[in-house]
Amino acid sequence: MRLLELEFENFKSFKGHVTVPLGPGFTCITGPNGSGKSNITDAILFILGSRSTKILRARKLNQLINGYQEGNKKKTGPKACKVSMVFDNSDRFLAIEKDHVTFTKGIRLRKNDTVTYYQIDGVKSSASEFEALFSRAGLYATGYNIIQQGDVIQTSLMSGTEGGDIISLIVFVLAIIAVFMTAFYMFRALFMTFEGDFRGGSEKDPEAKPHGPVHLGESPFLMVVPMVILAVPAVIIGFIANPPGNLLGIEAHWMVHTLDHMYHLPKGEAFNIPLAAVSTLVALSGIALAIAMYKPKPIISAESIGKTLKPLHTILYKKYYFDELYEGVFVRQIYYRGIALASDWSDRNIVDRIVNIVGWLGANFGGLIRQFQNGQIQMYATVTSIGIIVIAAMFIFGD
Amino acid sequence: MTEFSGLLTLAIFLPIVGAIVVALFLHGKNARGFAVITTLAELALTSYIFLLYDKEKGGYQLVDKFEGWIPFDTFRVDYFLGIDGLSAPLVLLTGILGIVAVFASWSVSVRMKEHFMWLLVLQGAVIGVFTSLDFFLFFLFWELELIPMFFLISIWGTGRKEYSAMKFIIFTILGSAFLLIGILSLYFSTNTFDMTLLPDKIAGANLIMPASVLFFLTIIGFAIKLPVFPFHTWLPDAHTDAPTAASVMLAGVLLKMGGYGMFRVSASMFPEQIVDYSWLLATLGLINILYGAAITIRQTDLKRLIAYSSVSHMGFVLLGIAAAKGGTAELGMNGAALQMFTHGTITGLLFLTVGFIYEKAHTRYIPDLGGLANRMPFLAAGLLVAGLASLGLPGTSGFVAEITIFMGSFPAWHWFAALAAIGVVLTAGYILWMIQRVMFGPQLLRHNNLSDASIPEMIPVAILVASILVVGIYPAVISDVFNTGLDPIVGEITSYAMGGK
Repeated sequence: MRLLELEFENFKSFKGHVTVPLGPGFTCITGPNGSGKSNITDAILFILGSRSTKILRARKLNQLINGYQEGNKKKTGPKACKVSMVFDNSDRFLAIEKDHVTFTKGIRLRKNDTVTYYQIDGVKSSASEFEALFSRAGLYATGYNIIQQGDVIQTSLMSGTEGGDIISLIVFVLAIIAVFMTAFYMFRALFMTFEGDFRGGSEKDPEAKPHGPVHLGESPFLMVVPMVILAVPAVIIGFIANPPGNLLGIEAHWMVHTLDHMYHLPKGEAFNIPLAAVSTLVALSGIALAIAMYKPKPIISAESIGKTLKPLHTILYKKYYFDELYEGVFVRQIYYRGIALASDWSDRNIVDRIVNIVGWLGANFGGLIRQFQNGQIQMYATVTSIGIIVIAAMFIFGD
Repeated sequence: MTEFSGLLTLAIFLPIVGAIVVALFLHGKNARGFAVITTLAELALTSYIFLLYDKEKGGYQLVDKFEGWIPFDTFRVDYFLGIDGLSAPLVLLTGILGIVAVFASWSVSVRMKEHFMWLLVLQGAVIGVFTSLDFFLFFLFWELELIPMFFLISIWGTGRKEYSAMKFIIFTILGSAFLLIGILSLYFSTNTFDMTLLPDKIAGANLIMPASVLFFLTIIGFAIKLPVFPFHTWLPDAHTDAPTAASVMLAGVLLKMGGYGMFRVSASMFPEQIVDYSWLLATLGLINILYGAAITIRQTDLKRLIAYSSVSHMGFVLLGIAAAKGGTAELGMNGAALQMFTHGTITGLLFLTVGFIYEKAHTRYIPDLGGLANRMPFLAAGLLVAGLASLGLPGTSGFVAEITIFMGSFPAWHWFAALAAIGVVLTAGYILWMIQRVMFGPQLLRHNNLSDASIPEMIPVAILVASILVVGIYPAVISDVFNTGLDPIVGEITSYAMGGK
């Protein structure tokens, strides 16, 4: 499948009808700044399905039309634009029985809105048909078929096709450790519960309420049936989700393909045999360790490991001290005995004291002024007289 | 010009006349029974009024207007009542809580006649506040409701009841003094007390004091009532020491009067100032929420715990109003209004159940309680519903109000809203811890002979649980009405916030 040519009509900087032929081999497009080189890749992205105007470097879809000016109620100027990609399909990479396939996508202005239309070889098509055909062929607007100018450096820094970067490696190692631990603790639980001597009974549990004699036995039918219904799929579901070959009409590796398609990932491996072998080996070794430690006569006893690695054991037993941190430090110390205590104290002693001071002032202010009253009529008469003289003077001499 | 539909006048004076009847003619259990009948009739009336309000039409409806009630040329006061989308649900809330309060006082045996008389007067006065459209009349009812509350707390209360009652009344009246100055200044600047006309008149008038000063003068009274930090310290004392019915009315409607005032006066008459000072509202709201929640978890007195939780929840109302700054003012203010209604029912139920527990167990000290769900499963269920609604569990009305407030305030005040969300977590902390220590856990032997709620005690719990769940599942019943009422206010605010800046 090869791109033969691109045709534009009034798309971005290309006025009128323009054809860009892409001959065999390597095509290089050069030109001064702003001459429209990137608009060519934008056109390819436009057809491949990018609805994002940010990727197409336009603020609204109608800005893709040549000469479109926002807010300008021009009656002249093109009202539509379209782009066509012509592919050589002799290898039938595209699921169409034709040697040449032309994909066309265009925009028409209608009143204040834009209408998008799709065509394949001139016949009306749809966005979903475009997407189905392109993704089948492994062509994505957001994949690695097109590397935009901003991404060039980032893409070039990606090492090879095998691994990724250091982060992926760390994640992988952690996942493998998790595989080991899961196998180990599941079988530990299995052995501790079902093998060896019975260690339980309500006499042993300090918090148990008296329940009666212990009666160990198999579960009744009513409980076994649901367990079986869950157990059987639990075993085979992995096989059904990622079948190595076509399974009764289900396509091989269907889930991986669907996820690749949904998230536009480059076609990844559906099943890696060395990886599967390693993880199975790790799981088996986890089981082996569990058996060694927890079978009725253990080869390595759990207590001895616990004693030698005492600090590690304590940290794990205390669940990394998260509970102490959250409940003890954050809630009890910082919040309850810190912030809340301070707020309560300040409310009672500062804010309320201020209120009470205001009240006290109101109640006792009179007491202050009262000091100036001595109850003697003579003084009141003197003050009154002086007052009358002052007021009279103000009336006579004032305004 | 006189319009008269009569329903609102009836809504105000039915309880007041009932109170007079009780005062003059009835004693003891008869007074109680008559109070039930009166508040039941009032509930029916307020429900009818609420349903009569036409959301499509909007504006002020069921108007009772009698011009020249105080007829002086230089000082004319009209008798002007009316409801709009903002006040209609609050009138309904008062009707609901009135009958709840009467049932909550079922076991009062000392001076029963006076108790029910004051409850009825209180209900009438609060409805007067919500329906008054004349500023002077509004102020009259605003002051009127203080008196019954003072007596209710100081006579039938517990603990330091006289202190708490005095603190309550003086603190609140101080705020009212500022409010009065504001009202009079507005009158002498615009020559009208008409609250429907004042918003327009203020915009064009020559104010005798700068608009910002008037804004602060009027909002102080409402801020003390809501209450807003740092004017909140009257609330824990008043709520804790008040008798159950008074606590229900206090937390349920009196606090909402503060919020209502902020909408009716501060937001609609001073839209520019509300937007300009929305940072202050957001800050104080956030302090209310977080500081209130932190203090709440340290309380060992059950009623004091709920009192501080009211402080915290009223912070959400402030935060919602502070959304005035941005384009989502409508969401924020609707959320704040809805929070007022829902908090009324939720905290009402909290105080109600706690009041009943106190009557039966004779202690509010949390360490002395425990495992009460064994003895009183009905009350446990009621307390649980109230607690879950308080922490905003989806399905309860508390969730609807809080989420709307967050949606409205986050775009305008990212950090404040984000921090306020922590308040939700803290609320869950103290509520669940309280319920676990009081209702669940080991039961102390001395509580072995406690009884569950009696029929008269079950009725108010059921009424409030129903309100919480109905509004939680179909909030449009209430929020559509609020939306209609807030439309003009939000419109003014948004056009200033978006355009005028």
